[in-house]
Amino acid sequence: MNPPVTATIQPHESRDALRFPVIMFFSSAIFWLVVGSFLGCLAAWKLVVPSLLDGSSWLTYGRVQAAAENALSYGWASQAGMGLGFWLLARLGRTALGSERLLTTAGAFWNFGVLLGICSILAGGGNAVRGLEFSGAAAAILLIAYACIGVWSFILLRDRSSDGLYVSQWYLLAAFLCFPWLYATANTMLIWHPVQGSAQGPIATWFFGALVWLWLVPLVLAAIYYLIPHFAHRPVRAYPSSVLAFWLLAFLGGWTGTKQLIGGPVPAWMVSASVAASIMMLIPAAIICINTFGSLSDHSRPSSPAVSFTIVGLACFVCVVLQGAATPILSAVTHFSDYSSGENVMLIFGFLSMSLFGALYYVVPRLTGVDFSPGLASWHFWIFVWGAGTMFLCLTLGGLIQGFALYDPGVDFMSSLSLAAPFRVMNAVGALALFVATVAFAGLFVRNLLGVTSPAAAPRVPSTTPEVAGV
Amino acid sequence: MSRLPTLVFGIFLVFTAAWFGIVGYSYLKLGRMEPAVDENTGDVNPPLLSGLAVAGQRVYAANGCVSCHTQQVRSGAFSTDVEKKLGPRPTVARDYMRENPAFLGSLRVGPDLTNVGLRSSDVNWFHKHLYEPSVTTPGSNMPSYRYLYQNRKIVGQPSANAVVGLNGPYAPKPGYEVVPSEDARILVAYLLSLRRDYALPEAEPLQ
Repeated sequence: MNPPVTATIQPHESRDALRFPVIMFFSSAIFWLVVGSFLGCLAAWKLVVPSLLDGSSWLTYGRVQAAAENALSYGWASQAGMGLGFWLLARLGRTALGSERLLTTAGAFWNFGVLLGICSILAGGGNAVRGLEFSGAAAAILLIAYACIGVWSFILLRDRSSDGLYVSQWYLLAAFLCFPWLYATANTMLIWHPVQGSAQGPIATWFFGALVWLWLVPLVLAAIYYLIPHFAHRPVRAYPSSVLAFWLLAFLGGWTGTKQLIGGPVPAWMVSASVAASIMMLIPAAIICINTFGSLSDHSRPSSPAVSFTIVGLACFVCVVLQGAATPILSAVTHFSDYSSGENVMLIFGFLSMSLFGALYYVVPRLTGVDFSPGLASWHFWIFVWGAGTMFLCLTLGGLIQGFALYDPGVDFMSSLSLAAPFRVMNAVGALALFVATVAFAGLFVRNLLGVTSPAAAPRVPSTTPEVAGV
Repeated sequence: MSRLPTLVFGIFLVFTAAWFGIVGYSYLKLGRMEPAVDENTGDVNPPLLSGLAVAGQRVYAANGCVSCHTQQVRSGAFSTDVEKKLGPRPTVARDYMRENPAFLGSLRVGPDLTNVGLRSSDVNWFHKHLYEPSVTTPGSNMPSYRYLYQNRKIVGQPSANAVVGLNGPYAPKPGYEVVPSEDARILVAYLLSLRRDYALPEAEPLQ
């Protein structure tokens, strides 16, 4: 493992090779982001005003909430991550695909699966298993589409013309290998041919933990490890330690999920192992912080939406890991309360979405040759941060108060509802802001694709930018 | 470790660890449970579910009830679930052997439903609650599930299944009646079946 410190990439060969499929992945990801945040916003308001649109079975709270979460995981984060992954693999490996039409078709098929899945949830075909709500048929389509998508990642890695493998490529390989395995396992055992109910709880929680830590998180970390040296104009600090972080994360990732069943009907060791894994996750997180923040700190940071989003995304990553490690201390009060929804906001909107935004702000201008309008981008940044921050703070604070009410045997259940209510109102306001921000981003993206740029933005010429390879 | 096959093998190994540990163990040890037979009474625990209750699980899943309701009475020093009278004892894995899927849940936006069948056995109350929750439980933030009901004109004899005692804004006008659909009936049958008031050798004694 001895990658070169810098390498110059020939500008044209890898830049244009995957242009079309990558833009297609990004466009559909942003479409699902808007859909998902709209459904999430609707669910947040329905929680506050239960009579809102309650006459329609398609729009009942439980279905809308599940549809939002799945649209964000499979439509938005997975697709944006895969698009970035292909762009990175082509870049770092200095290679191109033979046929981008096949990849594009597979991507379209994936979107068909997501669409079918979301419709199946809203129509009442949901499965009530977190992350697996898509109907069995939609899940099968996703898996077939994935087979046609994922295989290109191996082809790109195999045919790379650079020697070593950068840590970004490691993370991508791990993600692309783990996803089909865990998604097929979980669908087989819980949806297509369900095992006995007594075994379903641990398998379902294992799946959701692994979906996050072995699929979404590695995809995003791969992008971050590529971007940081480009932002800092220097190689990653303490680069060799990133290998240790990779292996620890890959090993611990599969164990993190079952702590959701703390006190529940599973063997105690499963929960203990999961809590231990979540605490040990502090080690790779610390290394990733040294690699990323350490690289940025002693260099001037250019102010751009890409950098701002990536830094806030990384800060949220630290928060996600700390919250995971704090589970055993807080769970008596926080388990089953809105606090867990706050953790979810921190993960999906805080870490995953913000880091993906950062990467998109960096990559999209290099695909289209047009820079984003900085004014709108800054609006997007601040509204999104405000919305996600409000949601997180309200759910966390309200969740703690609600959690004490749920814990205290002297307090009846209805009191926990009225205590949480004002915080849920503010959460819904935050969700609305978040939706507005995603619409703004979608608008920015469409303008960029159409080649509209504000006069203030000096056209960037990415092809002459000196490249620092992902070390 | 810059060679692709070595890396693939390494990732395979670390993935397999948790895969075997959690999925494999669950499948082999938790997924092949037999019911317990009470030696004194000959009862089989957990009891068999009625066909209606089994079908009702589908309605419970389809409408996302699990988003707001847990079905687990937790054990251990961290939990006050038994003190809060959520059930006579903490639930154990075997309690869920007949559930598909197992609706363990992860949020208590609404109350835990593990033993909702013990709290009330009044079928009409359940229908009223699903139709107009804010009337049966003031302050509730459960949405109405009136789309599972038919508000129809009475033709001839009123239906024996009609929900009685409705008085909210969607209560039937004179000459009309609210009749549960098939989905509503099986959902209530499932909810009534939710009762963990039997003993299991591995579970804590009933309180």
